[in-house]
Amino acid sequence: MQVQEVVSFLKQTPPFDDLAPHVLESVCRDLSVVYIASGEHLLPEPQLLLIRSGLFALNTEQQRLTHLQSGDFYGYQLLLTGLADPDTILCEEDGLVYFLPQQSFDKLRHQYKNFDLFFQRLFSRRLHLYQSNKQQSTSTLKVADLVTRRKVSIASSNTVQQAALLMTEQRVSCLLIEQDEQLVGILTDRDLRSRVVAKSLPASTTVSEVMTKTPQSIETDRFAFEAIQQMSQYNIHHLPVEQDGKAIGVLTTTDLIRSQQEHPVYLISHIHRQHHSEGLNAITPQVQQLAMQLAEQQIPSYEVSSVLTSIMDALAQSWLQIAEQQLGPAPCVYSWLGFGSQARRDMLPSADQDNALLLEKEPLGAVADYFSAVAEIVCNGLASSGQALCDGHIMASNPELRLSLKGWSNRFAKWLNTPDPQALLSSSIFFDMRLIHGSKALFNVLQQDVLARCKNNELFLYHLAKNATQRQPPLGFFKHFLLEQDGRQRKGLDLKKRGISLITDLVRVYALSAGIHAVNTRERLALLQQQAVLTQRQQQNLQGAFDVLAHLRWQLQAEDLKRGRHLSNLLDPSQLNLLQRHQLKDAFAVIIDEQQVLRQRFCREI
Amino acid sequence: MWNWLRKPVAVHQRVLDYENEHSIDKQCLASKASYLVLDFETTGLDAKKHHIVSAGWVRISDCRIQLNSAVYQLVKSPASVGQSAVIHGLHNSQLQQGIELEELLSLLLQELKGSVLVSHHSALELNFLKHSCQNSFGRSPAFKAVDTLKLELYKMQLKGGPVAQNSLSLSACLARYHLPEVTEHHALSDAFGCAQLLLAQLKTRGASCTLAELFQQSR
Repeated sequence: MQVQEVVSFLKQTPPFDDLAPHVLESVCRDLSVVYIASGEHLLPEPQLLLIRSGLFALNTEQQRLTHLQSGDFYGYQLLLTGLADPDTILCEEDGLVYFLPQQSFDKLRHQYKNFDLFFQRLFSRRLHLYQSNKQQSTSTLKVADLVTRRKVSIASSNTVQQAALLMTEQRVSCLLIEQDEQLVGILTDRDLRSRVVAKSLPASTTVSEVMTKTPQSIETDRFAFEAIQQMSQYNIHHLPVEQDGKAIGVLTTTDLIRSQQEHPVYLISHIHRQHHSEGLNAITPQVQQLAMQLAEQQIPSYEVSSVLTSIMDALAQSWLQIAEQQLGPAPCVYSWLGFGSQARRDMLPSADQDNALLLEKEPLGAVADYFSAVAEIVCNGLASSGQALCDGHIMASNPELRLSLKGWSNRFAKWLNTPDPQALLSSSIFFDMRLIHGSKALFNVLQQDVLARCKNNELFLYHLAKNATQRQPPLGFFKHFLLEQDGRQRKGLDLKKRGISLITDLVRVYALSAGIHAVNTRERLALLQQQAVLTQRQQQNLQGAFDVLAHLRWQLQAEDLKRGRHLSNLLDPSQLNLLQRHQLKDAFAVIIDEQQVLRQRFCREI
Repeated sequence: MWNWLRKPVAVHQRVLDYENEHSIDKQCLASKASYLVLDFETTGLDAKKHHIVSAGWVRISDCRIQLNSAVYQLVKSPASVGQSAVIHGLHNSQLQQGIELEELLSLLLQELKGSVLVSHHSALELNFLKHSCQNSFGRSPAFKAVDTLKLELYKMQLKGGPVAQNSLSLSACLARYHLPEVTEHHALSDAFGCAQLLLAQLKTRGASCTLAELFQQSR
C-alpha cells in the first residue's frame, strides 16, 4: 500500500500518467519527499526532481529566469547527460519536492519508451513531439487497418539481381529479407539505385551486402499515427509490419497518405466536378465537416492545413472555370495568385481570402473589364463557398491588385525600396505568394524578379527583421502567460498574432534573404537548413514550436466549429493540460530565442 | 476488561530488546534525527475500551520522507468496529484480513529502535501503544513522542492571541503551511500528512533546533 496522495498526484502528471497502476505504486515507493522553505536553494544531485507544491526560481547559465511549479521537473538534464548545469534554484514559496533516484529513473526509461521520450524531448525542448499514450488512443486507425497483408521476401544469400527480378515480378518497391522466419533486413528500390547501381556493384552482389540490416519495424496493434511518427523520425518510406514477432507485410508512405486523404481527395474531385455555382455554394458544410474530422483524427496540423488549402485551391479553380464559362475565354494569359496563409498552405477554417490577378497584358479597356468581371464572380463565389471576403480588400476584386507583370514588379520594387510601415505590413502578406490557377511561366517570372530584388537588399531585410521581432510571444519575465482580450471580451493567448505569425514572419526574413522560392513554412525551414542558413537545431526548434502552436490552434478552431461559435485564435490557458502547458511555454521560449538571433543577424547598425 | 484478573505474564523478549537497544541522543540536531511518523485508526478514543484497527507509518531521515518505508497494516480486532467504521471506513470483514495486534506491536518495536516516534496528537498513539503492549507483552516500554499538534500549539502561543478551535487539526495545520491535503482518517495518509507537517515545522525552527527542544515543546 502506498500513500494515495502521492500516487494520485503522479497519476495526473505526465509522463507518469501513462504508467500502469502497479508501476506507479512502485515508483511511489522509490520517492523521497523534501520540504523546502523560501530563501533556500535546491542543490543539484543525481535525482529527478518533481515539484509537488511551492514556487521555485530557476536561474540558468544564460541568465534566463524560469519558474518551476507543481508538476515541473528538474534534474533530468543531469540524469540524461551526466553533465550538471550551473543552474541555481531558489525557493520563493515554501513547497514540497519529490526526489526519484537515478536508478529508478533509468529503469523507467528502459522499460517504458514513452517515458524515455518524454524526458528526451523535455531536455531538447521538443516536448511538442511527445505524444502521450492517452492522446493516441483517441485515434482509432491502427497499423493493422492499413497494411496490406502481403509479404514479399527473399533470403539474404540471394543476389541483388534475383531480388530485383522478384521485385519487378511482384510489383513491389521493397523486399523483406528473412532468415529462419526472422526479419533481418530490408531492401528497397532506392537501395538498389544508390547502393548497387550508383556504386557499380555487380549483379552478383549478395543481398546481405547492400540491405539495411535490422530495420525499423512496427507491430500491427500500434496506431497509424505512431507509424507516421516512426517513419518521419527515421526518414524512411517503408516500414515492415510484424505480428507476434513475425513480419507480415510492409507499410508504405503511400498506404498512409491514402488512408488519411481518402475524404479530402474525394471532396476535391467532387469540387472539380461542379460546373454550376449552386453545387459550389453548398460545399461549405462539407468543408467544415471535413475540417472537424481531420482535427479529431490527431493528424498533424500541417497536414490538415495542407488538405484544407488544397480544397480552397480547388474551389478557386472551379470558380475560375465557371467565370470563364460565363464570360468566354480570357483575352490574355493570366495567373491567379494566392497570398498569405493560402500561399503557405497554412489555412485554417477561419482564413479569409487573400488573392490577386497577374496579367500578361496591361489591364486597360476590354482586358480590364473582363478581369474585373472574373474577379467579381470568383471572389463573391468563394465567399459563398465559405471563404470570407478580406476586410483589407486584398482580393482580385480590388483593381489595385489586378496588374500586369510590370505593374506588380513596380509595386514590389516600391515596397522594397521604401520600407515604410505600410510596405512592411504588405510584405508580410504579399511576399508569400503562390500560383493557384493559370500561367506558371508568368508567375515564375514575377517570383524570380521579386526574389532577386530581396536578396542582399540589406536595408529591406533590416526593416523586415525589425518588424518581425516587434511583437513578442505572450510569455512574461517569470515565464507566465500574458493574457489579452479580443473584441468579444474573451481573454486568452492569441496563438496567431503572438505565436504562429511570429514564426512565419521570422522564417520569411531568412527565406527572402536566401532567395528561397518555397513559401510553406516547413519547406522554407527545411531548405534554410539545407543551405546552412539555419542550424539543424534551429530548424527543429522552430519547426517544433510551429507545430505545437498550429496544433493547438487547430484544436481551438475545431472546437469552435463544433460548438458553432465564432472562430477564434484566443486560447484560454486554463483549458490546457499540464503537458500542453509545458509544450506551449517551450514553443514561446523558442520564439523568444530565435527573435534574438534574427535581430543579431539582420538588425546590426548598417 | 477482565485483564487485571489475568496472571502477570513474563515480560516479553520484544520489550526487553526494545528497552536495551532503543536509545536516542536528545542533543542531536532535529534535522539529523531519524523519525518514525505513526498514525493509528481506532474504534474509539479510550485505549482501555477501544481497539486499534489500522496503523500507518513512514520514516523520515535526513529531513526526507522515505516512501519506501511506508507501511500500512490492518489489525484484527477482537471486537466489532461498530460505529467507528463511519470514521475510518474499515469494516469487520476487511479487518479479518489484518494481522494480529501482537504482530503489529512486534513490528513497531522493531521499527522504533533508534527512531523518534512522531504523531499528530500523540497522546492517543502513546496510550494505545502503552495499553496494547501491557496487554500483549506484560509490560510496556516508556514511549516518548514528538507531537506535531503540540509543536503547532507552541508556535501559536508564542505568537500570542487566541487559538481557534479546529485550527490544530491535521488538515488545518497542513493548510497553514500550504501543504497538499491528505485523506483524513486513513492511517497511512494521516501519517504521511503528519510527516509533511513535521518537515515544515522543522524548517521554521531553524538549523540549531535539537531533539530535546522538540520533546520539550511536545509536552
